[in-house]
Parts: sequence; C-alpha cells; structure tokens
Amino acid sequence: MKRKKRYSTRNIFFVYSLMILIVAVISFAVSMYFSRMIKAANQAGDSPSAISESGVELNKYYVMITSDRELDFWQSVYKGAYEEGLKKGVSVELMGENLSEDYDEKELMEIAIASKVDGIIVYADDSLEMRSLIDEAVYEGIPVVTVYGDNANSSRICYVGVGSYNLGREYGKQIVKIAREYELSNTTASTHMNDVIKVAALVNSYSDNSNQSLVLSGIQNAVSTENNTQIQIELTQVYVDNRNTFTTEESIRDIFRGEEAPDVIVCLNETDTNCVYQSLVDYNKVGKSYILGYYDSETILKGISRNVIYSTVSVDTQQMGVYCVDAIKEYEQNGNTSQYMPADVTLIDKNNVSEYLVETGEVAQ
Amino acid sequence: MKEKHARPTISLQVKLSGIFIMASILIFIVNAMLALGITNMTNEMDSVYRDNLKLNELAVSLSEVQTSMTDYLNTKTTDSLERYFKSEQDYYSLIGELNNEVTGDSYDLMEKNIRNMSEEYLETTGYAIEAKRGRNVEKYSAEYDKASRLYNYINTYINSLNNERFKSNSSNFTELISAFRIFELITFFIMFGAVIGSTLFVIGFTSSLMDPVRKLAKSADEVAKGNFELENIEIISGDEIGVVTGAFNKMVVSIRQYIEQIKENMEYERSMQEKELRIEATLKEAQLKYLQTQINPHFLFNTLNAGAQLAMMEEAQRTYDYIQNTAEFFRYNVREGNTTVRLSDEIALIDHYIYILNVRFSGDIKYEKTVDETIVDVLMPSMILQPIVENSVNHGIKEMEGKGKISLRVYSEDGFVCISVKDNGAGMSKEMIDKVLSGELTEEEKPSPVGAHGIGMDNVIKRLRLFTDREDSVSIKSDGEGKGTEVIIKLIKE
Repeated sequence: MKRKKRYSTRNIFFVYSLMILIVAVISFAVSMYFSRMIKAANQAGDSPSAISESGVELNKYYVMITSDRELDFWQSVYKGAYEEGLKKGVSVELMGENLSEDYDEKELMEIAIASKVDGIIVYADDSLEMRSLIDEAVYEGIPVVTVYGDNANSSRICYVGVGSYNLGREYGKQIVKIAREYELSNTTASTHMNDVIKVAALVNSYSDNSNQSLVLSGIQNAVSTENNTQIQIELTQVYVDNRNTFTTEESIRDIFRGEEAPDVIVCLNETDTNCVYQSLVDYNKVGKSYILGYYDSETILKGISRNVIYSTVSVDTQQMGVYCVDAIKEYEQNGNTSQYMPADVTLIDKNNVSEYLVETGEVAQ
Repeated sequence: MKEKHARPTISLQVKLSGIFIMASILIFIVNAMLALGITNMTNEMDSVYRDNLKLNELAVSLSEVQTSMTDYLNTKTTDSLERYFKSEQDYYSLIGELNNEVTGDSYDLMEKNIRNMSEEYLETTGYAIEAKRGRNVEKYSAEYDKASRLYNYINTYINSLNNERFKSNSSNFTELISAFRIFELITFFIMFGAVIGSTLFVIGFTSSLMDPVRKLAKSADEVAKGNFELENIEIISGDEIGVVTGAFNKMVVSIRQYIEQIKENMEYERSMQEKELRIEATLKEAQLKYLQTQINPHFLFNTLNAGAQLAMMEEAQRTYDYIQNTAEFFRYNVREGNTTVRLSDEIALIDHYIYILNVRFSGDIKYEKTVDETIVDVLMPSMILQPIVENSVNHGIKEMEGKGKISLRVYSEDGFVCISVKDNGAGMSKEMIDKVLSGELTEEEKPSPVGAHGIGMDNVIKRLRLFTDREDSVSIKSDGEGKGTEVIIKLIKE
C-alpha cells in the first residue's frame, strides 16, 4: 500500500505516456487507413473496366463500329472481340458508347480514322460512302475488318460474317418444313394443289446490303429444290424502313394491319424479330403466322418456348468477335489474312430451345 | 533518511508543468492528426474535379482555335492570324498533357483519341490557313469543312469524357464525403477519449499531488484544535509539499517538546508553592501549639517584667536575673511572627532556656557552648533549637541528678553551618533514630514531654527539611541506650 502510494505519481505519468503512445498509434493508423480509403475512393470510378487487372500489357487499340450498340447481338460480338483482344494485348472499344452524341457508322469511321486507331471492326454496308471511308482508313494504314455486313468492293482486309446464302437455305428448309407440317395436319383435303404459303422476307430498305439478296436467293433455292409438297410457296420481299428504330417498328406493324398477314415471316436481324414477335402477340396472330427469327436473345428464345416464334438461327456472335480481332492481328503480323471468315450458325426451334434457355438463364444469373 | 535519498526530488513546478505539457501533447497529437486528415481530404477533394477543369480548359482552348481560324478565313486579318497561332500553341501544349498510351481504361483511350484527333485537327486548320493565304478557295473550304467536322467530334469527345469523368468523380466525391464523415466521427471519438483521458489524468495527478496537502491540512487542523499527539505524516514526494510536510512534522515534535517542558516547569513551580505553603502551615502549627501552651504570653511577659523590677527594687539580684531570663525567653516567643531568624537569636534563646532550667533544677544541667561567632548570622527557621534542647533535657538528662550535660556547638563544615546539640543522657536505639527521622513515630511512642504539649521533634525536622530542602539537614547520632544523643543540624552557608 505504502509502496504503491509512493510511486503513484510516477505510475500516473507512465500510464499517461502509454495513453499518449496509444493515441498516437491510433491516430497514425486512422490517418493511414483514411489516406488509403481516400485514394481508393478517388480511383474507384476511374477504371470501370477490368482490363488493367488482367495483367496483360496492352499495346494496340482497335475500335468496333456499329449502330444499334445496345442490341444483345452486337454486345455479344463485342464481348467476343473484347475478350480475345485482352488475350492478345489489344484494347477493343465499342466506339460511341461513351459519347454524348449518337453518331452513325460513317461518322464513327471518320472519328476512328482521325483518332489514328490501330484497327477498325465495322458493320459495313454496300454504300459508296462506306467504301471510301474504309479505303481512306486502309490508306492511313489502319486495317479494317467488316463484320456481319460487308462492303465487298472496299479494300477491307477481311469480312467476318454469316454465310448469307447458307443462312437463306436454312430459312428455306424451315419454310418447307412448315409446308409439310401444314400438309400433314390438313389431311381432310384431297389435294393441296391450290394451297399457297405466303412467305414474307423482311428486307431493310435503307441498307444496300448484298447479304440480304444472298439470303433471299438462298431461301429461293432451298424452297424450289427441297419443296416436295404440293403446296406452293410464294416468297415476297417486304421492305422495312430502317432509318431508325421507330420506323422499323411501324413498317412491321403495317404488315399486320394489311388484309392478309403472311403465313411465314422471315426476319433477318434481331430488331425485326423482336418487332414481329411483339406485333404478332399484339394483333393476336399467334398460331396463324410463323416467325423465322434471327439471333438467340432471351426474348427470342422465350418466344420459341411459347410457340410464338417457330424457329431462329443462332449465330455464334462471340466467335465473330474473336475472328475480327484475330483477322486484324494476323494482318498485322503477316500483312494479309483470309478474305472471309464465316461464323457458326445453329438452328434453334422448340426441340432444342430448352438447352439455350438454360444457358442464357445461367448467364443471366 | 534513506528514504529521502531514494525519493526523486521533482519540484512542484516541474510536476505541474508536466501535467500541462502532457495534456498539451495529447491534445496536440489529436489536433495534428485532425489537421493532417483535413489537409489530406481537402487535397483529395480539390483533385477530384481537376480532370474536369482540365477538360474544360481544353474545350475553351479548342474553341479559341476554331473561332480564330474561322475568323481568319472570313476576314484574313493579322490580328486573327496572331490569335490563331497563339491559341494553336496553347492548345498544342494542352493536348500534350493528354494520355497517349493504350490502356484498358476507356477514359484514357478517349483522351488518346482526343489527342490524335486534335493533332489531325490542328494539321487540317494549318492547311486551311495556308490555303487561305495561297487564296486557294476550294482547298481551304474543304479543309475548313474537315476541320469543322473534327472540331465537332473533338468537342463531343471532350464533352463526353467530361461527362463520364464528372459522373465517376461525383461518385468519388460521394465516397470521399462519406469517408470524411467517418473520419469526422472517429476524430470526434478520439477527441472525446483524449479529453476524458486528460481529465482523468489531471484529476488523478492533482489528487496524488493534493493528497499530502490534504493530510497536512488535516493535521494542521488537529494541531489548531490542540491535539499534538499526531503520527508523523508520511512524506510521499520530494517536492515542496514534501519539504513543508517534513517541516510540519518537525514543528509538531518541537511543539510537543516545548509543551512538555512548560508542563514540567509548571509542575516544579507548583511544588515549590506547595512547599512554601507547607512550611507556613507547619510553622502555624508550631505557633498554635506554642500558643496553646502560653495562654497569654504578653500578659505573662509583662507580669514577669513587673516581677523583675520588683526584685530589683528589693535588691534580690538572683531573682531579678531569673525573672529577667524568663521574660526574655517568653519575649522570643511573643515577638511578631518572623518565621526566619538568625542563628544567634536561637542560641540566645537556648541560653535563656538553660538558665531557667538550671534555676528550676538547681543547676543540675551543665551547659557547654562552643560557637563560631563568624557564622551566627546565618538564617534558619525559628523555634528549632529550643525544642531540641528541651527534648535533650526531658529525655536525656532530667533523671541524671546533676550529671547531665548539654553541649551546643556551632561550626562550619564542608560549606555548611553545623549546629550540634549533644547530651549525655538516655541515648536512642538505631530503630528509634530512624523512626524519628522518618517521622513514623506513633503517638504512644512519642516520649511525653513535661507538659505534653511542646513542639515535637517531627515538627522540627519537617520544618528544617522544608527550609533547607535537604533530607540530611537533620541527623541524629547515638551510640545506644544510655550513651547520649547528638542532634546535628546542617544549614547552608549564605
């Protein structure tokens, strides 16, 4: 007791010194923590992409140019290109994504050329303007790959796309299949000689695309060679005003407003498929018209499982993206590459739709 | 003492300064941390929108290039040309700061695009200006168109990048603010803790400092109430309080000692007074007893004087002498109450007394007197020698039929005045002497004097002892029964 008292002053000093030390340490720790936290906060929004974390040193910068960037189809293509680019040390950007103004492909091409990018992947059309832009880019030393839509006369190094003629044949086969089913289901009639199936192929009126005609001739070919039914198949082209999204929708609705809706509607892109699908439901034509869709977005797959869409073709979009990057990379290394790279196409109907639905469901999760 | 050496001698000033310095250090640390944190935060906040500022600057500069170029193409003034070159220079240096590397960051890529497009743009404007100078209208309008398109693209890019940056910066800012809030909260708690800590420390320290003072105050209060029986206060520290405490302890001890001494003195004085009172009382007792025996000494004295004159007239010389002696004897007793007399007076009284006795007993008593006349002025209580002589006569020689002898001797010895009354009478046993000297003689043992009312030896001895303050002032010597007795009185020589 006595002893304790005698050292009490010193004890208090000691305890206090300890306290100061603790406070100092806490202060230091807190300030360290906060300076880190602040730095992290400051950088948090700066790198929205995960590229920098992959550890691969990026040295090339390709851009991908397309309108309708929001479509699943293009997002998927971009994803394939982007991931392939990461592997090869290339930063692939979906151009126009971050811009406040909505530029079309041609303006974006100009920007890309002026920006002196290392490679351009473009959804091209047949126009002269596009051709000259592509030529200009190549002249400036920027290799250009066209994807899904080609400008065959330009000096583009490669076209990555779906084999349009084969695609057409696929559609044709589906149409014949529909005809056969019809024949089988209407056994009461003695003859189907006078039965006609009207097929409407939706053609974009404002894109001068040779692909469309290739698809159409593919359909024509398949129908004429494979149709072993008595039913006549009448193929017509329906022009869709695709100047913008709204006109597309309106044009498609016009089809159903007409007196007689076609029995089969062939859609050659994702937007058309979606529009037709929605219109069919709205005009209560489910079961009366068949939709041959394009692409395997979730909406479209659901349409198949609900028996609204007869079938759709699934293009391996990611593969397309991969091919694009590969083509430019190959050109850079070898000075040339193959002129045409076809992507895989798969038919999806109600027999195998469940597989894809599960897949996309999983992906969505 | 050892403790004192072991104790650290930290002065009160140092301790008090210590408290304040410690508390200040604590507050300082907390404040420093706070200041550091705030500076850090402010810097970060400043930098949050720095990108945007930079981009705005870029946009302004770009617009200046475009306007000055357009101006020149329109007007071809030197002023606008100068402005063009200047703004071109400015813009060029600005785009030099932009990113030119391929990274995974889309903003960096946008910066790179802006940079490349700007270079292209500046080149184009350069061509346009040149063509204007060369008056090549077709070319400069084509270049102007291209430049304008690029200008729009670049503007869009800058705006978009600005927008995107702003968005992410805003989220940064929000996070920063929330971090700042947490920081504030934590700082508050630390401040709070520091305040509580320093308060506890100051309270603890001051109480440890004040504890001895409190004890001291309590003790001082006790002392003020008159209680000196305190334990020593423990000295805890070597500071001024310790010193004061030590001094206080010593003071209490000293005061206690002084009080003790004063008490002793008082006791002594009291005993002295008591003694005086006792002397007086015994004298009074003696006188009373004497007066009891002499019913009216004045009357007796006057009577005797008358008798003496009568005898003188009748020419009876011996009768006159006798009566005269008797009168003198009584007069001594009648004199106004001096308790202290000269030895010579006492001797004179003895002379008278012996004379009277010799007349009474027809000269049976031989009386020898050896007196050192130089010392007879010494003072002594009255009525001392007479009772002793009376005692000698009564117990010593009364029955000796003329052989009795009393010798009085006055002499100095070892600085004392010695008075010896010696007889050759009955003598005393050793036990008897002791009893007499110690005053333990019972009433029966006391030898009944003639009239049974003389002044007893015990009274004489008491008075002498009181007067001289010495136990040995009276001594009795006797060789045994029948061998005489000697009473010796020792007085202090003046």
